[in-house]
Amino acid sequence: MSWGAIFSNTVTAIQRQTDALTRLQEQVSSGNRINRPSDDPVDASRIMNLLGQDQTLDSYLKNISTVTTDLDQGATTLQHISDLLTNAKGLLTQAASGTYSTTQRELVGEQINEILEEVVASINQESLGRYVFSGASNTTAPYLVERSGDRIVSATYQGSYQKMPVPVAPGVAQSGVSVGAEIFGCDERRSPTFLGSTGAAGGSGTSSVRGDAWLSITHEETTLTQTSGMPTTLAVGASSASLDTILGDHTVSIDADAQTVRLDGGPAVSYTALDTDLKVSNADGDCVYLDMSQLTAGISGLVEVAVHASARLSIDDGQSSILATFQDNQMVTDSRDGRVLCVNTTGLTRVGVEAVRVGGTYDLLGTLIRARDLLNGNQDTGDSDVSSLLIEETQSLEEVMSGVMGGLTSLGARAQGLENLRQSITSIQGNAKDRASELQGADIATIAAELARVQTFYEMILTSSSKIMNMSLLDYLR
Amino acid sequence: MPNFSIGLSGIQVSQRALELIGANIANAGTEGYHRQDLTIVPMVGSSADNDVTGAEVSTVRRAIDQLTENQLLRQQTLSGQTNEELSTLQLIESSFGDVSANRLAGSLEDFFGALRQLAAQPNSPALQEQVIAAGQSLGAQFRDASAFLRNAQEDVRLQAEDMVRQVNTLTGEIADINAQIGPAEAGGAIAGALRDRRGQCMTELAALVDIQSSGTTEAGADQRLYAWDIPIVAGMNDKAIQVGLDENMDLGLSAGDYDNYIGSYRGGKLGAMLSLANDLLPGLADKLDALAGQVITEVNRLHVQGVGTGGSFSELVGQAVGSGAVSDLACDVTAGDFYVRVTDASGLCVRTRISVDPATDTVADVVARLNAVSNLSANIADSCVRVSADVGYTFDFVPALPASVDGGTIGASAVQITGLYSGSDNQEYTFTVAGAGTIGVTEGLSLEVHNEAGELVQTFNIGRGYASGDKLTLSNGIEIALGAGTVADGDEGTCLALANSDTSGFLAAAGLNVFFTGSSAQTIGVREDLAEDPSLLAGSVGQGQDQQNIQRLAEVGQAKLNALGGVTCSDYFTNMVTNLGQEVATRQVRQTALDSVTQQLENQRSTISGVDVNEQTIQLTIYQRMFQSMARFLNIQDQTMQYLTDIIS
Repeated sequence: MSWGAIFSNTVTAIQRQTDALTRLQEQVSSGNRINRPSDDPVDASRIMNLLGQDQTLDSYLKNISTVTTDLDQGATTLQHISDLLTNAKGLLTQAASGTYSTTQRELVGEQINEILEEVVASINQESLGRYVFSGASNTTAPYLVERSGDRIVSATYQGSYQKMPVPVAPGVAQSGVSVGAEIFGCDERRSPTFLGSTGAAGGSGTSSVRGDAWLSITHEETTLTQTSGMPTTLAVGASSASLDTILGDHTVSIDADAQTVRLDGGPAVSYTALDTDLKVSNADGDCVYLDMSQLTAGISGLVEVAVHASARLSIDDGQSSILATFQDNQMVTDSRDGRVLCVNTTGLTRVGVEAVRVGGTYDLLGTLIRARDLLNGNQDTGDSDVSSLLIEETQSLEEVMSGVMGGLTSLGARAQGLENLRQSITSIQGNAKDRASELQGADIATIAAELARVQTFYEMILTSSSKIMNMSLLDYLR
Repeated sequence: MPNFSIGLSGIQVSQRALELIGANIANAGTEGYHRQDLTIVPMVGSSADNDVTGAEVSTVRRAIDQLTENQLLRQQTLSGQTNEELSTLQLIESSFGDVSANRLAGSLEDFFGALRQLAAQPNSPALQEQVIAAGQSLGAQFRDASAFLRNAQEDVRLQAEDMVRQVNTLTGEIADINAQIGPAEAGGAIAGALRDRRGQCMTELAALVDIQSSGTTEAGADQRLYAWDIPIVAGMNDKAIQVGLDENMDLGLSAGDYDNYIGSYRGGKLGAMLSLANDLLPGLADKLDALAGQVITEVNRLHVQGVGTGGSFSELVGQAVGSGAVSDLACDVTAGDFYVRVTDASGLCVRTRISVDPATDTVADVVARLNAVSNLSANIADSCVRVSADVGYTFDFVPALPASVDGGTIGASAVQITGLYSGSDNQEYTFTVAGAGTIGVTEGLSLEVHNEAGELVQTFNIGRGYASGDKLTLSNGIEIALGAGTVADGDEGTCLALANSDTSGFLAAAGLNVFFTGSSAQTIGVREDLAEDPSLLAGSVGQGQDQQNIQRLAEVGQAKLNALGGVTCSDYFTNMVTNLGQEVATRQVRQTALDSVTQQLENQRSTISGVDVNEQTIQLTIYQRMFQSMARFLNIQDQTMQYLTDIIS
């Protein structure tokens, strides 16, 4: 063996062991078995995927936290509103009992107004820069209120009808915000109910008005047509256009001999040729104004004249109206929002205002506003009507309360679902971290053993090389 | 008679042997030295009985095994290539960071994670800032990685030039030695020192290039050497090689007299340089560019279709693209359409379709079409596409649903369309009335919805039971509400639902309302005005009131992209880095194996050609004794002669 070979072998062996020692030392100091992909490409790929998964899941957990915060905020608000509504319902029930005086009702009205203000403030409450009941438009307050003086007279939903799905897991999105119009309004439309005595009824078509509507039925024109007796002329009085309350078809009976006139067989009203604006009422109190001076002179016996009074219908406080056609379906449009009320006008008999209730379409704020206005006497209704209408509003309130409670349940369910998801993701994330750590982490005991082995080899190489290189024949030659 | 010549020959032989042993021991540690051995043969006298008359040195032989030498040269070539590739690839692997702290992979996750978080709070300025910052960080990581690869390529080129100089120096030296070997060996002697020196040069040369010899590497002055197929030594003449770029701009080598550069040579350090410069580094750079390009394309493709919290635009200025052919744009444009929506102060929107055909269109052509849209101006200024709306108008490219069907009504019914289209294709839907009558009143009145292919998608009751104005929701998110009114059988309206408002990719290529500027890892960056005003982040596909685009952008991070081989961006990068790790690991294994083989061959050569001092010492003792014996022999001969002389005298 040449010296060159001995040196070369020694150097190579030392380099190999030094490399091994360096690598082991790096593993000990970093605590990692794999520091770079070339250390173990397959496991490195797994580790990078697991660490990437960990980072991705972290962003999902942050989103879950954000959505949960919004849901919690929404649930707290709904619980508060629910409490307020329970209180409001109690107040309305008492006020509808018919035992309250006007003053007492007004006091209840004030309390309802305060509840209304608090409900609006709660719904429009901003939290962490977001409105949780505005749907996707969560930087806009959900309801725009219009005031007259210091009183809320209307509340319009101005949020989005779209929810805001937030990615909370791969392929899973959950919305933390809610659509206020859905929670604080009902969408289980029923046929409209007409609460009045005009003879108007629901038409055969499907109405699209929501909540309560006031159908105003006014007198337009009365026309007379003789149907029996001696040929006679008769005209309507000067007040007919404005004061007649009859609508549709009626009969005026003139007893020329007795100088009396009746409407629909009602009470006889005496007349003279000088009566130019004679009010004639029927048994129900509906009236028509007649000009008796136009009555043909010299007639005798019983003369019957057919009376037809036309009408105008409006559901937008008179901003627009249509002539009644006395058909089974007449569509009256609210010019403010284009919604339609289908009315059967065949039975119209008198003017008046019909409170039309469309069950299943109430909204919370509108109901409170109407209840307050009823209690404060802002509607043109009598005491008995107020009581019955308050009972109706109480039912409306129950409907919207049911919506609020449904919303509360929904938010709770979503929050619970998210909590389950959070736990699941946290568990997956923990497993990913553990697996990555397991793959990457160095086993100190193994390294220590390996280190000792390599160190022993290293020392053996040094010792053996030293001995081999120290041996020389020259030492033995003299 | 005493024979002094026998003694003389023995002394001469032993002296020569002692000289060679001295030279061998003196070069025991000399790299590339081949031990010299002498062959002693008996001298035969001229007499008829062929008596031995002494000893003489027949030959001085270099202890060499040609097969081993050739194998070692081949190992040098293989080792040279593997070593060089390994060290460069290890450097690049390190530049991407540790497995647990990979900067680019982390930035990719950060960016898409930030988008995901923004989807939860799309109007949060802090989260918008976070997305911008994450985008800038991602861009910086791409640029850094790209710059590192470019610098590595430049370093490789410089190293290749340096290696070529070394090759040329070595070939010059070999040619010089060849010139000396001829005269030195003219008398039949072996010019061992020269040959050893030449062998050493060839060893160094073999580490640089794959050398081929026309004969054995131990040829004499007529030696011919080739680096691959390029002649580099022809006897006493050397031929320089040079490095340059071939027609494909690949690094290549050429014989000095020609500019015929070939980049496909492999073997040796120089072959490693060509492999790194032409295959390995460009391959990595291409992958990095492909990844950056896809991130840019996918993000921009969606971003151009959205608007920020401020809503539509009054003016947009794109990147510098010039007015030339659309097909020459840095980002790919395909034949397709994009839709521009111009909105007046009352909110009335008019949408116009602009067609793009990269086979025939120039950027100027497309801009002219944009300019022809009412209340919109478009031109190319300073090579950038500039689009602006007239005063009182705004524009955008959002795929939002129109407010109504074409014409606004179906029969006498006013139609409203709302919702967010969730379909995956652009579709024109036709809403057709079946029956005649009044909406909400007539029994059996219905509305049929057909897609472009004429297929019935859904049917809704719009007669009795339908409250006019109520929303009818299609399964793909489109909501339609019909106002009160009468309709006739067959009355219809159409609505274009867009899933992608730019199927051509022109807007992204022109840089109009993009998120990222640039087209590769080298040029990627966040749009300047967007970086300054994060509220321009186009998170909405409506009027800034939804976050659908943020969601779509966030989903890019999880999307398996066909252009990347059906994997996500993160997975693509992980694969790229671990493939690089695999390349390094493979070379490490190969290097270890080559080192082991080289070590064995060197041991073998050392056994054959090396100097064993102990062996030489024994030889030294033998020849010393021989010398002493022959001197004693001469002394005895002399004494014998003296006796004879004394007798005579």
